[in-house]
Amino acid sequence: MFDYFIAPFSDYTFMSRALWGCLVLSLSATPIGVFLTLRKMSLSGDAMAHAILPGAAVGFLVSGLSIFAMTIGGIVAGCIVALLSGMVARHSRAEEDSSLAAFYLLSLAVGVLIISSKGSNVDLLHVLFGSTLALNNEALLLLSGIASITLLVLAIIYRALVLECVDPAFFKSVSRFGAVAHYLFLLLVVLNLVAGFHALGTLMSVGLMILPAAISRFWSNRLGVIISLSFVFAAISCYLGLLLSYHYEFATSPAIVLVLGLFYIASIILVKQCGSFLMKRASLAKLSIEQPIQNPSSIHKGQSNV
Amino acid sequence: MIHISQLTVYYKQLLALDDINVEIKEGEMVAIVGANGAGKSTLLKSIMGQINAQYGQVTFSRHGLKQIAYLPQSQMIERQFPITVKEFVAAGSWRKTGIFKRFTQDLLKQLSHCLEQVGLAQSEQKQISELSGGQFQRMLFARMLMQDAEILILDEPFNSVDMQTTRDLMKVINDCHQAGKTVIAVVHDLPLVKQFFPEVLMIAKSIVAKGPTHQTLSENNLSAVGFQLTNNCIDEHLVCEGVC
Repeated sequence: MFDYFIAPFSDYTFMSRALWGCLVLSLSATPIGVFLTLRKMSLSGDAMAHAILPGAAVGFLVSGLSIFAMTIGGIVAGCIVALLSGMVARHSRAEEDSSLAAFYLLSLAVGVLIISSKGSNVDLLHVLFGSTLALNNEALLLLSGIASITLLVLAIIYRALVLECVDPAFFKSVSRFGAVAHYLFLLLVVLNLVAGFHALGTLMSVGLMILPAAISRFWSNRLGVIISLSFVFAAISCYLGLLLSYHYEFATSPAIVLVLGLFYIASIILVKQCGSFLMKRASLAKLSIEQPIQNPSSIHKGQSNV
Repeated sequence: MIHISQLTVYYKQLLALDDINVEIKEGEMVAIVGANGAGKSTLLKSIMGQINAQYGQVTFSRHGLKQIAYLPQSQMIERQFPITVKEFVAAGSWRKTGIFKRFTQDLLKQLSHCLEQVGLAQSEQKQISELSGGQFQRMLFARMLMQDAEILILDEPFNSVDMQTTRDLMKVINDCHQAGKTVIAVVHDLPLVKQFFPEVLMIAKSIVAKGPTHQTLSENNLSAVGFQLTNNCIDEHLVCEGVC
């Protein structure tokens, strides 16, 4: 038991680093994911995840697999695409989702082109699917820094963000902070996607954001509980995903996302079952209360028959 | 007093408001009446400074924008968001609490009072997604009361609510008016306007008429804003648009 569940992390530094990196990432990415899903922006998050690729590719061109160069490149590209798609949606007839899709497809194509023309297939795989098991001190520091910034900024804008999500028209009437909160939130999305791409790659990083939020939404309708549950689901999935990757030599980031996917499917089934079970109990309880009031004579007749 | 002069608003190339000139006095209770697309909501948003007018301006002689409480149309609100009635209504005190300040005991008392006023005292821990249409509208009123402002701006406050809720909420508006607050409401229900609102402002992109309700709500004016109604229609509660 110990050998299977604990030893990989206690015996091998690369495994404990990977677990630490994924847990730190889960801590900051899951609340962002909860707000993304509640704002119905899950696909925007996915689009932005793809959009950071050309920035990271330019960073790769300039200084190879340097974490900071690729991070800065990714952040700049993510912000540019988020702003450009918003501007195109405002100033042209294109809808925001189609303009976002257009920009992210272009970005993805440019990014893959740059990396595949100047690097090897291994480099391309590293950027697309991450290198969870190769997180070094620099990468862990970066992930921890981004997580700290995210939690701090989120704590500051939390109240405003909730109001902006629920009733933007009202919030606009009492404060001009709504737009600031919105853009700060988008910046946090980009930051966390960039952090995520070091650990899980550009294609998988958004999974750790959106899936835990989608799972938790099945289990609670309290915002605080949803955010906490999201972290718990993400943390468990990272742990199990890393174990699967270690024991069965699965690719790490898809393993983590697949575990999350299993939680998601299980939640759909369980919540449906629990829901119908609870509804049956509630209707039975209602019947037992209402029956003597609604039709006392029938009960009396029934008793005499017996 | 709210002084609106030569207000002209375009959405891209589409004219939404054309040369609006009107004064709304302190303590007035005005219903804004007009057909769909007449610019009623645009006028409200212009008063609140949410829309930049291409021409003209809105000025306040005493109370500024900070003394406005706004009740938006309920379909603009994300009803599935996981938030309780109490938390939603508490948002009305944003100008006092802002991003960081704690909710004081006084504000908590005020919140309970606002919920009682609209008949939602027992529902404060409910999720907003669990509320019926009428309860949801009551909650919006509670948040507006929580703002404790001198000018109340309501955008279609009685849409999709039953008669009882309309009566209860109308009483809340009347109480506010009696307390000296200025009330400006977009209302489609003409019998309601005739019964409760002393003043009416009729618009069809530009102003058609403004004045005491019994004089202003005439057949000619109604026809000019796109309603083909007679006063009998209004009295018999047969309110419809263009077909009565």
